[in-house]
Amino acid sequence: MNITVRRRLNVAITVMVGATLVLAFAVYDASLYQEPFFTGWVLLAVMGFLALFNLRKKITVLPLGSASTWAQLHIYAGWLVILLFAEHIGWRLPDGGLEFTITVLFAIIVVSGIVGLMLSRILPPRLTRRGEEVIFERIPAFIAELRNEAEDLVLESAQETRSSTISDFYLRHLSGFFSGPRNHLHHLFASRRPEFRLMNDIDNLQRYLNSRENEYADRLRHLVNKKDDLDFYYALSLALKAWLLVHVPLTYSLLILVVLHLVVVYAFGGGMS
Amino acid sequence: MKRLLQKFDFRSSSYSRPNQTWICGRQSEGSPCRIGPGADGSCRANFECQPAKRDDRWHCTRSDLAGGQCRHGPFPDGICCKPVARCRPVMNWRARPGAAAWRVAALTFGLLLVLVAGGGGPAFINPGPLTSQHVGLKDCKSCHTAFDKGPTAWVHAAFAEKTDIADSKRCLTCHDLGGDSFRPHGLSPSRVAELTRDANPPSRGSWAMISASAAMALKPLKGIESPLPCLSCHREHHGTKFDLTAMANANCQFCHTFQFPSLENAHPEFDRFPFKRRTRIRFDHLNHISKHFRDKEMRSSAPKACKSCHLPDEDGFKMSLKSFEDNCGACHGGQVEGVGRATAKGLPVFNVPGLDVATLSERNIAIGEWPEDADEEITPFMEFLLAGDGDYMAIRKALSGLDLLDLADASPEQLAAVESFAWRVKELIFDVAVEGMPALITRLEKILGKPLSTQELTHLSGLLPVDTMRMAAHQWVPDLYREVANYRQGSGEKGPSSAGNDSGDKGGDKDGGLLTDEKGGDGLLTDEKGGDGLLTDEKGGDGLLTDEKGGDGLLTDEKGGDGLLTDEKEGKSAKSGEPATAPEDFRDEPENLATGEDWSMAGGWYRDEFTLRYRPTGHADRFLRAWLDVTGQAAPLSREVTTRQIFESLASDKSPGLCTKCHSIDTDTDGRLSVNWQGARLAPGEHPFTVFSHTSHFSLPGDKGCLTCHTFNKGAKYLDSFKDRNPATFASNFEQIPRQLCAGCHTAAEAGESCLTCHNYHIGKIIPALSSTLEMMSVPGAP
Amino acid sequence: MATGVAIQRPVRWDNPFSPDMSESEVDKIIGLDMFRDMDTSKFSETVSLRDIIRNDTRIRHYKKGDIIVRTGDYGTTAFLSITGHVRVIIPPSKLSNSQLGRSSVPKKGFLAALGQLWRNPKLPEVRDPTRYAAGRDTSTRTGEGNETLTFLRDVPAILEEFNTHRINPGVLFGEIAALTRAARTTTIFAEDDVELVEIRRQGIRDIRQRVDSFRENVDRLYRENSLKNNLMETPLFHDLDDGVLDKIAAATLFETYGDFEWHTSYNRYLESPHHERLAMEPIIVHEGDYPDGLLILASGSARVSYRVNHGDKTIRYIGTGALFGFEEIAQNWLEGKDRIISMQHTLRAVGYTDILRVPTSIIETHVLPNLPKSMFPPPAERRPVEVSHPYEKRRKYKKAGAIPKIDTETLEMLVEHRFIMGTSTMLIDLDRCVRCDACVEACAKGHNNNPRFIRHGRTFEHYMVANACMHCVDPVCMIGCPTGAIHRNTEGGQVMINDDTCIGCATCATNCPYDNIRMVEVRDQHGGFIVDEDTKKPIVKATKCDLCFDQPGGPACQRACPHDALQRFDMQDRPTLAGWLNRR
Repeated sequence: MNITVRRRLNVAITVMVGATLVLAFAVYDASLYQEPFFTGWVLLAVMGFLALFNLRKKITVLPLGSASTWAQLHIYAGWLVILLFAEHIGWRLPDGGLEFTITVLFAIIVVSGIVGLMLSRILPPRLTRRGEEVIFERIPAFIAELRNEAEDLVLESAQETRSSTISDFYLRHLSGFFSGPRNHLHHLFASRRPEFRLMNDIDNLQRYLNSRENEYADRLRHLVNKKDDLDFYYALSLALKAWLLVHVPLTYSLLILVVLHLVVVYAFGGGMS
Repeated sequence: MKRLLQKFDFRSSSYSRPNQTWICGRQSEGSPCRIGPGADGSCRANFECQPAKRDDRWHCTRSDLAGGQCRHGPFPDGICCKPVARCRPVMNWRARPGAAAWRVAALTFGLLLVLVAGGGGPAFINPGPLTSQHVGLKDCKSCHTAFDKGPTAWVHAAFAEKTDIADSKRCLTCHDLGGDSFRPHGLSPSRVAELTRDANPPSRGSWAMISASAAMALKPLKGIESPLPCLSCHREHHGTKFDLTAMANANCQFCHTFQFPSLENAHPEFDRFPFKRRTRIRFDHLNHISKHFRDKEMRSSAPKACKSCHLPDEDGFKMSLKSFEDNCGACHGGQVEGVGRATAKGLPVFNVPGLDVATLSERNIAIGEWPEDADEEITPFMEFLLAGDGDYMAIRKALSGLDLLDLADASPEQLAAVESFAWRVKELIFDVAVEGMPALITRLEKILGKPLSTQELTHLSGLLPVDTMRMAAHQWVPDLYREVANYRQGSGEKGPSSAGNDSGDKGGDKDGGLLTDEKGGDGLLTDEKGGDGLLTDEKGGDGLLTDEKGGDGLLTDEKGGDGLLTDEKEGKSAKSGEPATAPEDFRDEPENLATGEDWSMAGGWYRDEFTLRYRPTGHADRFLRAWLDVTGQAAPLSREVTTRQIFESLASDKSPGLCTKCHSIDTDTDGRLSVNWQGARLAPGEHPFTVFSHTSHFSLPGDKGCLTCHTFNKGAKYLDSFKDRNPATFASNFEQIPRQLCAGCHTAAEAGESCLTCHNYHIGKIIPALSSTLEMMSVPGAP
Repeated sequence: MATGVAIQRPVRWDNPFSPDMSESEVDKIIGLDMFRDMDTSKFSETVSLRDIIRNDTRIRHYKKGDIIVRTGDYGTTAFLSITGHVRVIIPPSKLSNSQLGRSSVPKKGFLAALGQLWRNPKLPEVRDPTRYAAGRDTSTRTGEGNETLTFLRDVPAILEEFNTHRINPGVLFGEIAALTRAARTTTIFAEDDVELVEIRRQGIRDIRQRVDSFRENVDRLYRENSLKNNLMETPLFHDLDDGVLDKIAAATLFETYGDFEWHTSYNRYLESPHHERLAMEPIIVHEGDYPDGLLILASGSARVSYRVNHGDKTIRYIGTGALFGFEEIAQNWLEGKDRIISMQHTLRAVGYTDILRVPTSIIETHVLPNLPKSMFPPPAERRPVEVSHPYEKRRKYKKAGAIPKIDTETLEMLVEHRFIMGTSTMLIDLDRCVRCDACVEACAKGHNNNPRFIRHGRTFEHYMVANACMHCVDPVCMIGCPTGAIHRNTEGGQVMINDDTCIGCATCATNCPYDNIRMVEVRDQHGGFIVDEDTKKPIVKATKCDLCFDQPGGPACQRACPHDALQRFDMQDRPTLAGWLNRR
């Protein structure tokens, strides 16, 4: 299905469901039942469903609907759960230690989720538009490859041209750059300053080089570009993976606290029967 | 051609395995070992191949994929020449969130345990501060029953039992709502059912109503019958400023079968609000304002505005009345005291009823001395007191329809009745004169069937002074003591002696008196004879026999006799200077000798010929009030006639004091009567269903003042509506308050239209429970 | 071609069929009566019959019961018995998978699928060594050139059970499959110990081109057996009665274009410029030619293009079963003789292509007259006289909706890299892919913890064609598998490798022009490499995507993608592909 159409449809559905729920909550509140129990269970159900997404990703071998369908549900249920939570806490920050902790955890999870979503939609096109498509795990290896090339190049130049200008330059400006992934934040925020600075340095360097040395400098420049592309790719891919490091683990501790919360409210706030 | 780092052919690019948790640490150098890390993340690297020995030479067995046989080949001792440098495998990024998740979960558990162990648990799970009025409750268990039993019990309480009612019971220790605390409005289901029956106009649409009626669907779960725990409406732990009693209209509408959008829209019309019940004080505003207040001499003392008589009570809800003195005294004070009253200003309490003495003496009825001039009927009070004696009612019956002042053609039976009637009267006077209060107490208690406190007696007796009583008795029947004593000893008494005439004379012939006494003895004999003479008369015989029995009766209380005798002695001893006779000794009475009535103009007892009267002591007279209450409240028993007689006599417009001229009388369900001594006011702790705060509305009206809301109803027959004693029948001077008047301001937008603005949820008498001080008795230093 | 650049072609015979053909053996074969009476003068001295025999044939020995040809296999050789008889099992009766030495893996049930989540080994490429031992059971043996031969244990019983037909010495068999590169239709086994001449395709083709008798013989066989079926498959000829069909069949000409072994040379020229690569694709029809016949692609695929300035602009690629030139023929027939239009586009063989040419006259007389109006094509897309800018064309098409909206750049790319061959080509939308590797992991879960593709590959625009087996319409990887371990699944037609019978020779991996087959060193349960008993070298196996043929849900990769960035496409279904490429 056309992605834009799907988005509109899903948004519409989510809004409708949200409205219906808010209505239902109002009705329930009008009765003298304790609305929080109702909202709470709905909230819990939705949260449970959201958590299931992780599980679903693990058992791809089963025909349980495609992961993309689940992802869509996860995203929009995610938006919905914000509303549910707000309704549950009555649109006011809870005062209790436990409840407050839960709220904070929830907030972090939600925010990380939204950030993750944004990253997932913004970064891939940027990745596509620049540099070579490589496998994340292999980037260090490729960097190593480039580093070796660069070092060989520099040594060669030193021997060939009998001048240590380039090699000194390498040691001073480039050895650090080539030793591993660099400038994560610059790349993440689409700043090309580091690359520009290096290019600039090389330009300045080339003023003092003769034609043969210049060839080496150009080849070096090429390597620097290549390496910077790798850095770019590394930084963005890392961002695409790292947000989960917040989103997933906190969910677990949230669920634990929620169980505690459940016991407390039922033991002291009425109880079941 | 762009240079590509990534090769695709199978020799230079083997599978990347993001599914493996661990990656060879040397991947980052681009030269991962072929074997790769173990599942536990251990490095498994050793050599690039395991040389094989064929025809006693070692051969390199490196895989073609790894570049095939190496140039040098194995060492002579068969060890591969290419050892693989070991590494520390690194975790795959894809596996990290999962790994982190378990750590974080464990951490969370740990922190929770530490918290519990450190005793921070309760503070942590406390969902928030209590409202300021509850801050005193420091201990969770003071509200939460399950709290003390420990976590395991919590889980049980959470998912196995229902704790809300149990918890709510603990609220009642401070907030006692009376009986059906957990019922809607504290009303019994039956009451609710009947109210529901009464109020069933069709509902009107609105959001609140829709929500409510939708919520109705949930009712089966929690109907009228099942109890409502406090936390249905009162939600705690929402901070010190939280409004615990806030309640949305929808909440009310949830239960109420009649649902409506708002006050101005379809709220039920006010039903005779606020004048559902007749005013307790009968005061015809219209009469007063239109006539009396305009009257020339009254005008000066007439009130100028409503507030000169009415003032808000301390909580500002009701407009209560100022005192009688402030409001009415100026004009009506005198009336109450009896100023300008034609008839006697005093209330007849004791008297000697008038009898046809002549006839009686002809017929030779032995009633002893009797004042001939007495012509009053017996007073209700005396009847009341007499009603206690066994046969009095029978006597009354016998005498009914008989004019005691003309017994010319009375039947013997009636005369017998008259005789015993006369003796009852004498005995009563005798008892009271001789014994005083004790005599009254015994009789009152007997009749009212309940013990009387001294205070009650104080009021009921009107503090009748001993001299007044004795003097009166002496005046009326000089020889009363002896007569009654003899009568009680069973010795007869001759007919009403002419001594009635010389009832006035006294002194010397006391001996004669004694002689007659002697004769009396003879008389008794003759009587005996007479008795013989009357042998034929069956009844007489019976009468005798009965007498005999009476005699026995008398014999039995020998001691009583003794008592009498001793009394007699006292009487004699006292005779020398008898105070009662003293005033009579004045030879020349001054002209301006005041009558008893005028003498006690401020109220009190006085004798008026053969009647002992009580004159009310101005407004709120204790005596009258006490008697109206007692007789009104007295259970309607066989003696009703008498009790009611007093009540009615006191309640009549003519009766001195005129209490009930203004104080209306209510008949309650079981027929008891109560006089409204007070104007309307809220009893302490009383929570009516509808409340209106006058004070908060004072600022609103303009020049019309109170009349803005309380408009006159000219047509109303105010006074007529007081004819009966049913508080419900009422025709107010004022029109009822129209709903639109309130709805004018009380809209959601302006003054607010929450149900709770005018209605209490918890209704009835709600007294805040006092804390019980068990420690009191164990005060240090006490023995 | 005007500006054809001379480039070095692979030399004929640079890899002989069997390196060790002795002259005596060559003589022996030439001695066979089939070759004896061939007119050698028809052969050029560069390609003499003897050369052909020497380079394109070899002598094979089979024991009684050995299976020579298995139904379903993609053989590229024909056989000729020297001594001994072979038996062909006549369809529809066929041997069971086990008898054919094929492992038949049943689809996993729900629980089994779930089970592999924890039953999967923790380490990569773990195998159960005992299974290999079992693989060498009594029904297989190692033949010459140590390939694994399957043999039938109880031949008499087979003869009893199945409807078979004996083939006597001197009779050529298996040549049709070889020529048309269709799957073998029957199973043929040795009735007694036999000596066979095996001739590979190129040989047959050359002989056919030169020896009329041979050609007639082969063509007759082909016409009788499979031609009519091929014709029937094209909608044009659906409702023609047998008589007409026979006429058409009789008139149909067979043509083959391109290098049969294109895959061996192809990668070398990948990086060379566009027009050079184009030059490597032999022209079947030139635009401007007179439409002298209707072309049917019997196998392979072809590029449709037209001239733009100095280059050729690809507008479409067509695959097996497609027609070419029908628009022109139909139009000419409709508009009459005075307004003849020539072929509007050039048709090039991509890789190797078999063409059936049905003469225009036949079509005009037998087909067009009673063809329902609905079947008539839209008027041939007239090539614009001067296209200043290629995009105009595209826009025009967009309006007309005549062709799917795959833009030219993409088309060029897909054709150049032969991705059009795929029936399940894996495309990844790099604008949506977050590089989470969920696809790879899912794949591994379905294959005992081993991925069967790599999330890298050639990219165009914002798409990547990942290195996952495309399950080509004609899988060159199967050519030359000594054991038939790589085969098409009889049910789903997926190309898959039987791990038990694979000997790790890497032929398939080298053959695959798309680098979609990977060799792995297998390990035992403890993660140690399984090594050969005597050489002690690690055992290597070829592995590739099997489209999760045994998983309940189908290909796990595309179900596992949370951002629906990954899809697998049958490249012949261009509308779907186009739809997905323009889904935003």
